Amino acid sequence: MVLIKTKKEIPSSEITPEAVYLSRRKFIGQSSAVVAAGALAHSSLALPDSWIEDHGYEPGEEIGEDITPEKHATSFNNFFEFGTRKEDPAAHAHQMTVEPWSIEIKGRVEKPGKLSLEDVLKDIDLEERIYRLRCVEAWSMVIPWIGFPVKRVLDKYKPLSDAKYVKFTTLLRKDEMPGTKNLLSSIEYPYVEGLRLAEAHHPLAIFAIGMYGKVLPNQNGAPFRLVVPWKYGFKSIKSIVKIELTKRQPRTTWNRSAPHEYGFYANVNPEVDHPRWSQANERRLPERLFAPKRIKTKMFNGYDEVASLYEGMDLKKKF
Amino acid sequence: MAKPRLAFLTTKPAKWIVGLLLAIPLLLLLIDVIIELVNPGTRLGPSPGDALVDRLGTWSIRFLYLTLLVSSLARLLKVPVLVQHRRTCGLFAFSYVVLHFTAYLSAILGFDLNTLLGDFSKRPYIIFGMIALVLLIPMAITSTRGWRKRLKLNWKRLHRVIYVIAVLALIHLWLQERSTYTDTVIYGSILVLLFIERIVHSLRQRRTRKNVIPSPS
Ligand code: HEM
Repeated sequence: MVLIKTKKEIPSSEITPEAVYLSRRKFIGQSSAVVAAGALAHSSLALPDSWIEDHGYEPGEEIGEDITPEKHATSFNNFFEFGTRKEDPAAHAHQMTVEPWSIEIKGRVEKPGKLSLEDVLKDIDLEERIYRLRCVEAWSMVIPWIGFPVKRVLDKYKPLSDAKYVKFTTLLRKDEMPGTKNLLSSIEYPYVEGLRLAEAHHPLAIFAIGMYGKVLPNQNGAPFRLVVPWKYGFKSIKSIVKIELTKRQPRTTWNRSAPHEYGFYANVNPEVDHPRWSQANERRLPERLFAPKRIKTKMFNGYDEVASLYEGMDLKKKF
Repeated sequence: MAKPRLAFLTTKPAKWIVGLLLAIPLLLLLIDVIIELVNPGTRLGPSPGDALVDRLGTWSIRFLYLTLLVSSLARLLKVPVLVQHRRTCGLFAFSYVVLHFTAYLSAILGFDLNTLLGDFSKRPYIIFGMIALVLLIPMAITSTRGWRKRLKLNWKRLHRVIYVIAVLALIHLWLQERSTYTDTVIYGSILVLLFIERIVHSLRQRRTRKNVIPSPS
């Protein structure tokens, strides 16, 4: 998919509601608000090339695989804070207030603090990344994210030399998140995920603020989420409110709830099965009924360039 | 005292009506399946196989437990004729389970037998489901009046396997729970109540029997 198709200039009246919403939050300062608008326009909307070039925002490189239709990527989600069924997040996530949004950066960093999303994003250029998303439940999608490398953000707050891990925490607001009120929950909230700092620094690891040329819908982790495409989807934590640099490996949500099922690393690995799902194959969504699209799962979800991060590690043990 | 109005429950039309009522979820699902086939992605979402398997699985366990509930209700409400509809419920439960399995085989696995064998041998939740399905087969076959007469007391014994199946189904569900145990607790509580009713009933029966024939000591 090519995001920006035509070159004619659009009158401001044609800017999408998402764009209005984003620029209202003075997202990334005056000059880059334009980029935000670019990021938010529907793919059918045109933007001048110069806007894109000025801010480094370019349509993502195509990967030769069909992009999952937006309606499916935004209506079939795992976001247990809003319920356990796939359709629950789309039905309930609108209750989550995403504006204003602030992110706390703490732990082993030189410059900790509580920042508004606008501050965090200041001077950061947006880019589109078309990534495969492989869920541990053995299905996958292809999604065009809009974001920027995690490293760009971390560098601004200067991790100290003894920082080894990054811990991310999702918003927990019980009155806006019906799933968190479930008394029989086997996972604890707030949702926590983590990466080794070296993993977070890998250029493929991004923070996303948009998808499909628009701002993230709440059910997909608005307004600010992680995307690590070589790991199972649950690592790509949504709606982040806290980023903490730590010396020790953080205790992550799924790993805590069932350590033998969900490892800390959770790299996509066709050779390590989950008790409930063979990971050798995956089903690429959307499918037609009675015509499952079973494809072979690739090591690191096909992102071989991350292999060097794990040199010398036994990935069957460190799964 | 006789309950004349309930006599209707034993008639052929009543059986048909009950059968039709019990078929409603299946018909609704069939409509969704047809619409989904004509217009992909509109009824069962991007992963229609999963959605179909889940819905059939949900109805499987509901009908299984409904079958157990019929006997309890017949006793609690003192409407023994209800039991005449137990077989219909049981056969529906069996049909839902067979369809649930067939949907899994076709719409999720795409008849990929390697994965099927892997699932059979490695995935506990599938193993429990499979045992439940296999145990249901002799029950379905011997559910007719003819078999009932032929097997006499053994029929009762054989059909007690339903309790094993009910527990296996619960384990099958429990092993799939991820972020919450809600479903397991709900269905588990229902099953516990059904068991309690049976225990109370059999204790009572034993007591009345004792009253009739005083023990020799
Ligand atoms: C008495 C027999 C069975 C009962 C009562 C039963 C019931 C259920 C229930 C209630 C669910 C959960 C539905 C949901 O999540 O909403 C389920 C899911 C499932 N069952 Fe069964 N089941 C039975 C036998 C089987 C058999 C024989 C197989 C296959 C060999 C099977 C395979 C599955 C699969 C693959 C799922 C869904 C897993 C997923 O959504 O990822 N079940 N079943």
